[in-house]
Amino acid sequence: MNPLWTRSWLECRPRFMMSGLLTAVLALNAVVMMAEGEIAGQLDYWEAMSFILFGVLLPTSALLLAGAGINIQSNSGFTQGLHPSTSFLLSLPATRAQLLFTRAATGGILLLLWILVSFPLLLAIASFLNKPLPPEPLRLLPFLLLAALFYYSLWVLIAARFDEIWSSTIAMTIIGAIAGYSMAGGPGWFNMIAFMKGENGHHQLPQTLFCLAASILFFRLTLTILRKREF
Amino acid sequence: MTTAPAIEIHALAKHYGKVEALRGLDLRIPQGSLAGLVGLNGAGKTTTLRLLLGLARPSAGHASIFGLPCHSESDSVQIRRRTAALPEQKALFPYMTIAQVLQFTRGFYPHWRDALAQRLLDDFELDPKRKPCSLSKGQLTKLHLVLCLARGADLLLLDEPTDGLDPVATEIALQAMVSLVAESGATILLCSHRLNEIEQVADHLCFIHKGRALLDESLDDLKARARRLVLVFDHPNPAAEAALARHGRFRRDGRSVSLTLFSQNDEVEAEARSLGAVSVQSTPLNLHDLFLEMVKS
Repeated sequence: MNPLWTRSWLECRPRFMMSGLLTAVLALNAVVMMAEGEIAGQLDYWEAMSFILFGVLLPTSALLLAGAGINIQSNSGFTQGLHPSTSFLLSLPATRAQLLFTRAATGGILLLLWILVSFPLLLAIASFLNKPLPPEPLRLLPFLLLAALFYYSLWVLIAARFDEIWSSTIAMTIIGAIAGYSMAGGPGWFNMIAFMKGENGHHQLPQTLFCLAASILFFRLTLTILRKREF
Repeated sequence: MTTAPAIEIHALAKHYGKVEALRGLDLRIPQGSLAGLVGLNGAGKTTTLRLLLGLARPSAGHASIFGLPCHSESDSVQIRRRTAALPEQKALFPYMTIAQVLQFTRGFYPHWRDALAQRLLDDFELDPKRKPCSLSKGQLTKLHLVLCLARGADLLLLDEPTDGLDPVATEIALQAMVSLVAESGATILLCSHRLNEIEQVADHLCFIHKGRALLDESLDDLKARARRLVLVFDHPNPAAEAALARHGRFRRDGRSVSLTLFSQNDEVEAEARSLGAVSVQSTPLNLHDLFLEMVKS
């Protein structure tokens, strides 16, 4: 097996565990909230769970898995002295495209795994608690995967351009802005939560195409940046 | 038939904004040599290594390794298959153990030398279960040396390879380098400020100053022609001093004067005697003195 896959797995593993832990804590928190009768009466279960899962957990897990890569190990900017192993990594006989591909693919596969576990799990919890759910919730899976691809490719791009402190700050700002907009606004281009719930009206189809095109563009830009960048 | 040089650099320039790191560098490192690359801080040594590894692109000029251009990505991968680099910053992946780093690196190099890696791990007393992030500076250098020397590479680019090493480990490292060159015919470019170590093992010397090469030649040839003449005169002799000063760096110390020469000095000795020197003593320069004289002149 190409050693780059092993390295990517070892790098992603603690990040995957962190995203799992975050999901478990927030899911447990939601279950406890729902178990409190008086609070449950004031909350729409599906609205609350979709906000936590789609608006917070999915983009945050994507952020965790997209981080690091080549750039976090660079010795530039604010990461000076943090993980200056870039020179070693880039001195190995592998192209920067190979480095990007193996790392992004590993993180992407783990994000897919996260979705395929956490989404059905939350549906199962809701079913166990006899909470109302939208009809045929699994039909939302393609939208969920596309939104995940959009977020993930955006975070990969940001991680390639900025060190981890800046990329995390920028990403959390974007997550907050999109979540806030989605909570406050109705159907619209940036209502990612409505898109993931399949409730974005006539924007659903163009937003599907937009997510796909933007993801391809982001990965392409990332590759261009990494190829041009001097380390 | 002449063998292509391991490294060939022609008119290489590198600018970082307004800062000129390299200004028309020319170097030629023969295959099978152990070359020392020396210079002051900021002379351009690390930049040269980064350009050779394809980590940065030249602003002008050309660098090649085994005839392959370093700035082309596809050729650079071919170069890196035959090259081992020990970087200036010696951090490694914090999420791997030493055993995993070795296994990871081994996967890229079909000529990886397991026995040598194990011997060096034992000599350097490195525990494969430890993580690089828990190692001291010297231990990290040792691990990098294991990773470089065991690759079976044809060229080793080593930036401060004894940084942080104790004298015993330094000796082991230097011996391993010499053995590698002698046994496998590999070429080593050794970039260091420890001139005594370079003098101990190198057979070729490159001296970079302000982004240009001042010296690029066999160390033996250099040491054969670089000497210090200590001349003693009976009385102050400004005319003789002025005549001798044109041959090299000149310094007066009471009745004696010293003259550092970088060329054949038989004629200068004869001239000094004819100008009234009562004593002429010629001593070879060690690399440390040579370095200082080059910088001062």
